[in-house]
Order: sequence, then structure tokens, then C-alpha cells
Amino acid sequence: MQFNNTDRFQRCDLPWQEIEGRILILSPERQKAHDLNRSAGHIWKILSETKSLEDIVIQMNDIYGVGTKQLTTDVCRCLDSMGREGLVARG
Amino acid sequence: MEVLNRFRNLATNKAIPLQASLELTYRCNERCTHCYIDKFWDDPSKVLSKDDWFTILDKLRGAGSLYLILMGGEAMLNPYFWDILEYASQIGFHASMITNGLKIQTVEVAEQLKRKGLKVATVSLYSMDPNIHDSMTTISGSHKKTLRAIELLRQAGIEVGVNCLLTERNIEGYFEVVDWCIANNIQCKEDTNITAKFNGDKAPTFLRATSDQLINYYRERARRWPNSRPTPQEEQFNDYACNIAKGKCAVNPYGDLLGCIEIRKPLGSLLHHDFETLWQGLEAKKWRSIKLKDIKGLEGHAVLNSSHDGCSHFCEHCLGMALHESGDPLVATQESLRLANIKKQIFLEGQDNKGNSSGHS
Repeated sequence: MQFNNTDRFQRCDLPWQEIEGRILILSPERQKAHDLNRSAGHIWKILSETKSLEDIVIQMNDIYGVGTKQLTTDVCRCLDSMGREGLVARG
Repeated sequence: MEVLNRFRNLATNKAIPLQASLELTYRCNERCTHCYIDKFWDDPSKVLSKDDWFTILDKLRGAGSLYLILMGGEAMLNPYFWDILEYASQIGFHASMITNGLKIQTVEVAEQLKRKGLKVATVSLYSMDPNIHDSMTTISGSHKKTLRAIELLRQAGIEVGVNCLLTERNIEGYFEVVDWCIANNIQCKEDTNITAKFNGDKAPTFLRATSDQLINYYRERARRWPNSRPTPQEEQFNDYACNIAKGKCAVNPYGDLLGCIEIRKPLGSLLHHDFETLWQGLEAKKWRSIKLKDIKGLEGHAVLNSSHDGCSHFCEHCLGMALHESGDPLVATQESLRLANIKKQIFLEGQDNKGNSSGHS
């Protein structure tokens, strides 16, 4: 796991829009568009309010209720992926 | 592209205006011979304040718009252009603009555009020959300034596209524009549709490229990029005629919501109504509900094959173009049929070539 518990924050300069539960994020500098599925979309929206991994996991658990241990792994994986795509930054 | 197309289709199906075009002004510092605008001035009693524009931006964003296209006239002539651009970026729009570039002549202006959040600038460039470009804009020296603007925008790190409307005057030099764009890594788009003015004046339509010119253009394009050869659109008669009042919308300089930039009859004022009231109103629904089967005159040479349920055709019928030209949005115009016929000819030439090469092998 590459995630080192450093908080991540949503890059607020990236235009995005939710349509029918899916999130479209535009990354102009990479000339790329990203399509987030529902769970990644939830993380993305939570990231607009908090950058704390713990907060994200708690809020995701409120939605999915599968336990914080499993969710921590999944959220970290998702954040790593978003980081590689330049959607979130460390802070 | 796949992701974007998926969202565009979703937006169209759900009538979410993912793309919004904002006509910031009818004023312009060029007088292009082909332009569809009939009056290059704004009615002083109707022009919007900065706060009015902010209200409209909020409503569009709330309605689901993500792509914002600032246009005119020349968008940069709106006195609140910079505030509008900055605010649009702040509230999460992907902001782009269509411009002639004449107001972008210094590094400072280009960098300010970048700083205020402009993501893409589409610049109108008609020829690599200054005489031809300037004769189309009717502004001496405009070619030089437009090229300068492109250079400055790129230096500022703004994605630049070139848009080239093809007329009888410039079509034969179009591939010089393409070659220049390729050499400079700039996306180039052409447009063969020249529409009558908003008031029905057909003067611009007399500037259309001749059929021979268009055939040569399509042949050269197919020679360079075989995949760009026109292909028929497979459509069902129950398919919607176009994207009007579905995946895109527009706003005129006075704050009126339009279902499409081409249909000038407003759905209503965005300053006095909320977006949903107008978007779900009778006028919007009327335009939105038009289907392929409602379009008259598609039969015959524009169609390749036809069945009970649908047809494959080459006609890109535009409701607005038809309305301006013939007064009836539901009748295919002679021009759209002419273009369809030319595309069909080029398509069939490609089929013949395939047949000949497979015959030889």
C-alpha cells in the first residue's frame, strides 16, 4: 500500500459535475476526462468537505456500513488512484 | 473521448444542459462577411449588469452545466468579461471562449486569461493568406493580430483550437491552415455551414463554397485521412432530430435562455425565472420533442438506404438553419440536401475504391 496516511485534498481547480450518480471530472492540463463510479464519487464529494482519511472512512461507513478496516483499505486504494491521475494532492 | 461521449449521451437523454453557450455581447471588432449576427450592437435598455451575469452563471451551474463557452460577437467586448470569466471558473465551470483574438495582443492579457481560469480558446482563423483572411473579416491587419493572439495564448499555457468556416473565398486554401495547425500542434476544425442572418437576411448564404469546391475539399480530406470520409448516419425515424433543449443550451446577451444558439426564440428570461421552469416549459418541450420522422424532404438523394423503422442518410438537418432560411424548421433546406448529396458522392467514391482494390487483389 503506497498510502502513507498523509491527508489528501480535492483539487478544487478541476471542473466536475455529477450526472445520474456518476461523477465527471475534467483534467484540462492532461486533456483527460474521468468517470468515477458511485463509491469513488462518494469519496470525491466527501473530499470537498474534508481531507482527513479518518473522516472519509467514517462517512463512507455511514453509507456502506461494511466496517472501517475494509473501508480504510479501499479508500486508500481509491485515493492512491486519484493521486496518480492528479485529481487529489497531498497536504 | 469515450468518457466524454458517455456523459454527453447521458446528459442528452436526461435533458441536462452539460454545455452552455453564453453570448456576452453582439458587439464585435470585426465585420465578417459571413456572420449570422444582423446588428453588432447591444440594446442599452436590455444589457445585463455584472450581478445579472453572476445570477445566470449560478443558475446554469445549478442546472448541471459544466462546459461554458463564452462567445459573442466578440466576448471580450463585454465590459464585465473578466469578472464573468473569473466567477465562472470559481464556481466550477470548464470555461472556454470563441474569439477572433484581436483583444489578445499582449503577454499580460494572455496571462490574465490563464489566471482567471480560461481553459480553452477557440480562435477564428480563415486562411494563411492575410489578404483572404482580412477580406473575410473586413478588418485590415486582423490576420496578423489573430496569429499573434494564438501565439500568446499558447505561451500562456492555454489550449488553443482553430475554427475555420469554409466559404467560396477561403476553402481552396483550407489545408494550408490545417498544415499550419498540425505543425503547431493545434486542433483545427472546419465548418461548412453558413447560415442566414438572424433576421432572415440571406446575404451570408451567397458566400457558400460551390459544390465543386466542396467535392474537392472532401476528396482531399479523405485522401489525407481515409477515416474522415463521410459515412451515413444510421438513425431511427423515432430518434430526436437534434440536441436542442437537451444536452446543451445558450443564453443571449439580454439573459434570455435559448434551447440552442441557432433558435433565437427565447424560452424565457433567466433573470426572471428559475432554470427548471423554462427548461420544462412548453416551448422547450416543443423543440425537444422533434424527431427525425417530423423532418420533411429527407427522402431521395440524401438517403442511402431506408426501411420501415429508419434510414441511413447524410443530411445534417439543423432546425435553426432551416428556420432562418425557409421559415420552417421542419423542412430540410436545399443547402443541407446539397451538402448531403456531396457527402454521399464522396462516400460512394470510397466504396468504389474499396471495390476496385479488392478486385485487383
